[in-house]
Amino acid sequence: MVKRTYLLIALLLTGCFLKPVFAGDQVRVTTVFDKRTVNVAEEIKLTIRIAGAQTNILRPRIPSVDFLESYYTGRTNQFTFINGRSENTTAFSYVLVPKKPGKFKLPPIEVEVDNQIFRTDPIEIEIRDDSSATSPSAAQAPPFAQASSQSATAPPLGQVPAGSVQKPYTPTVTPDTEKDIFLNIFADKHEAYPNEQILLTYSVYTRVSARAEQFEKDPNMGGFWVEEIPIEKDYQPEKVILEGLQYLKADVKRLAVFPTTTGTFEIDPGVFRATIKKESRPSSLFDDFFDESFFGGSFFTQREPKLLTTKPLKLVVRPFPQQGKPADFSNMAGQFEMRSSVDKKVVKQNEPVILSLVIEGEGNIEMIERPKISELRDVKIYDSDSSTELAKYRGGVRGRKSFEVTLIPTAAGEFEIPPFTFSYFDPRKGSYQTLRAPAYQIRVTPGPAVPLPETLNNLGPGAFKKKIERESRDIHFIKEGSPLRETGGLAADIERGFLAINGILSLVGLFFFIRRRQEDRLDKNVALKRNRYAAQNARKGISLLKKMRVSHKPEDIKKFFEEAPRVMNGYFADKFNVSAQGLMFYDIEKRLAEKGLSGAQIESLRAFYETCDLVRFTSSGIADARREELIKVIQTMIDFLEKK
Amino acid sequence: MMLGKRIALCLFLAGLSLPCWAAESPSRVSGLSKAVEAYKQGDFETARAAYEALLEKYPDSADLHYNLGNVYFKLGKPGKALLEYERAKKVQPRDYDIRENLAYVQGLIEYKMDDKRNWYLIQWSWLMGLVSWNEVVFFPLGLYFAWIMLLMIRFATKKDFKIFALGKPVFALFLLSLMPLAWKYWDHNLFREAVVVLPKAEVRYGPSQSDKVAFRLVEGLKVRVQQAREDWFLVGLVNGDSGWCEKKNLEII
Repeated sequence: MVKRTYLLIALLLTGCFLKPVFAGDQVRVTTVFDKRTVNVAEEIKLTIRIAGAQTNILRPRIPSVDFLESYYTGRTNQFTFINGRSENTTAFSYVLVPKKPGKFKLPPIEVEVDNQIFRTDPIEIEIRDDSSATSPSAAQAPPFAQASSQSATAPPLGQVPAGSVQKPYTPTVTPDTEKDIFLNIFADKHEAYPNEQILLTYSVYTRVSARAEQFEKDPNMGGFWVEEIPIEKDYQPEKVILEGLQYLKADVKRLAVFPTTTGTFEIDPGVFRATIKKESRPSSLFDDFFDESFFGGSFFTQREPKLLTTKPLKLVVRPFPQQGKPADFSNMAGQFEMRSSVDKKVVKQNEPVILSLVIEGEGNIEMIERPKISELRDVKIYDSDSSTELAKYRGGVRGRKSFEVTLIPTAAGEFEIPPFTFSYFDPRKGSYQTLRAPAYQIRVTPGPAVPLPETLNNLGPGAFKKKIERESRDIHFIKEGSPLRETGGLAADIERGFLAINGILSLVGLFFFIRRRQEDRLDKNVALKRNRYAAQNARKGISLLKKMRVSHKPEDIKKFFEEAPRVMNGYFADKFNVSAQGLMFYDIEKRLAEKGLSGAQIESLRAFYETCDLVRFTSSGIADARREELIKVIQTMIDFLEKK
Repeated sequence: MMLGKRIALCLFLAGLSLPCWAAESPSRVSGLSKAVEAYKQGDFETARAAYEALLEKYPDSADLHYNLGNVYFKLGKPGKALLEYERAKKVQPRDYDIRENLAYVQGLIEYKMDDKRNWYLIQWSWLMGLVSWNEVVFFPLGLYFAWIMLLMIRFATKKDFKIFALGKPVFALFLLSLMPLAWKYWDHNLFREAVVVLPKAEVRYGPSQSDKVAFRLVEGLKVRVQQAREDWFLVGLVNGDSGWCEKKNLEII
């Protein structure tokens, strides 16, 4: 215990002193290939070693090239202490799988260490096309006719066919005896028709202790409908003898594929990853115990990754024969059965009848379409539902596709759901087969008329519940209570009212408009405005004088004679556009003479002014009749000038 | 003085609305009860005569046209019934009973015409079918009233209130409202609609019996009269066809 403590302290101290030694190291990057000349699909192991670096090393990325594929398989660290110097080495491992023959140069690989980029030298690789050295090819698989005869008989759905487990097919495999482990892809047939089932089985054959991992690259199945058949939980690898050598064979993937079109296809098999036990390390008790556990293996065993692939698989999809092709054939191949039923044979008008149709068998079930039902008079047809059930077993895929068709008769009477057919090609018999469903007679009793939807989508469970509906239609009864009008209704009355009001308002508006325009015009011409309103203002003065005339009070009389010349002068001033204050009789006389006023009238006007002055300044009495005469003089002057 | 002017204005406006009270109650209209009773008794000939007499006095009564339509339907004359329903609909376009009976009787016609007019014309026709002539006239009148009032207040007050800014949009709306008015006028007066009132009506390529028959119409179908001659109408259908039909086969709605 004390010794261990001292050892630990010594190691820690050594670590402290070693730090400057590491700091002074230079980084060295080297690449190691296990071989430079390989065959197509043969593995090359590449190791990139980075020595001298302490930390912060990023995983190098292999440049993308078209002649090989690269797979990263792991990282190891090595700490060496030699002659007082220590060195830390990190190794990154890759597997390179050549894809095509030729001589190629792998570009420098970049390695980033402590934010510095290091590059390896370019590497030359020669790839040969030596098919004999590769895994067993698809061409060695059984021929088409032989494969067909080996197919398991189609069992009922949900049951595994009796012979499928007890008698698994045994492919003929030519082993790659140069290899301890290889991948093989087996097709139960290499020629097929569209939508015909082909079973593909991926098996690993090994003579060493190995463990199945997973597909690094999935098989490419372009042009095929693919259903994966799971490996049974209790599946155990089996021992097989190939050319005198014992192999452990394990299926790692099973696929049922259905070609969707005709032509020749090369299926890329993908790359499967397995690990094998390293020989250098002594076997442990655990490894011995789990040696044959292909899918498990001990966690304590040190393992080496292996990437397995094989040549592409060639499949030929032939077109269907033209001879005897039924009109309703819809490119389905396989073996099928069909059955149908209706939920009722007597319904009320506008109530649904459900026609159920089931097609069951072996083939591309998912792609089956509902057989066509011809148009029916007075029956609305809806596709309400379809469902698919698949049963996958070792012998392939069986399935059942169910259709439900809703038919709603819209008229009472009887109608027939005509017999409909489903045609397919049976590759085993090499001929077309036609399945027929029987006709159904449906009696429809009268029911309420309801508007039917175009589709059944978005209709809930209550879609066909009965509603309160009119049972018949007729005209509505006559109207008795409405009062009668000779013309129109309320709208007509309002219309007339508006028409009248609008007419009046329009006239009033027009008047306002014209007046406004005139006022605007007069505002711009003062002389014209005074001339225009001279008579109007004078008449207002005359009205005032007439009221004053009836008073006999001396002050009122005096006021009358003061007002009268003011009215007259105001009129003349407006008319001649002069100031009323400075207007002299001489000016008035002269202007009136120019207007053609007679001498007698001028004299009368002179007398008007003299009389007024006499009364105003002398306070002499004057007869009432004289006041009337003065008013008449003013009126005469206005009349004369307005006429002019 | 001001109070007196207000009273005078109220009296004036009340006078304008006098026609509103001019309607006569059914009990005061002679012949109406007779028509109703005859209809109830199933004496449709008597009811028809009574309603037709009433319609001479009250030609714009939607109810009378509607009732007469019912009478004609009971008499087995769907064409005349549809004609009267259409006339009633012109006055009261949104009346439920009128529209229901119209749709019902139209549904009984054995033939139909595809409306091949432009979609906007169909929609516009439908929209215009929801309003009567009086209602269409009401809008421009109301807008004009609002506009002229604003104008007058402006002239009278000689002031620039903010509300006067509404004058231009109101006038623009007034001009806009003249569009449906023009359509209705065109619909009612220039290209009037007519209904086939006889069981069969031949439409010819020209206005004479010697012209070849283009197609035949059945009772109840609606056509648009494009031109009139002595005894012939040039009629157009919504499916784009047109031809000459004798006047006796048709009645203007």
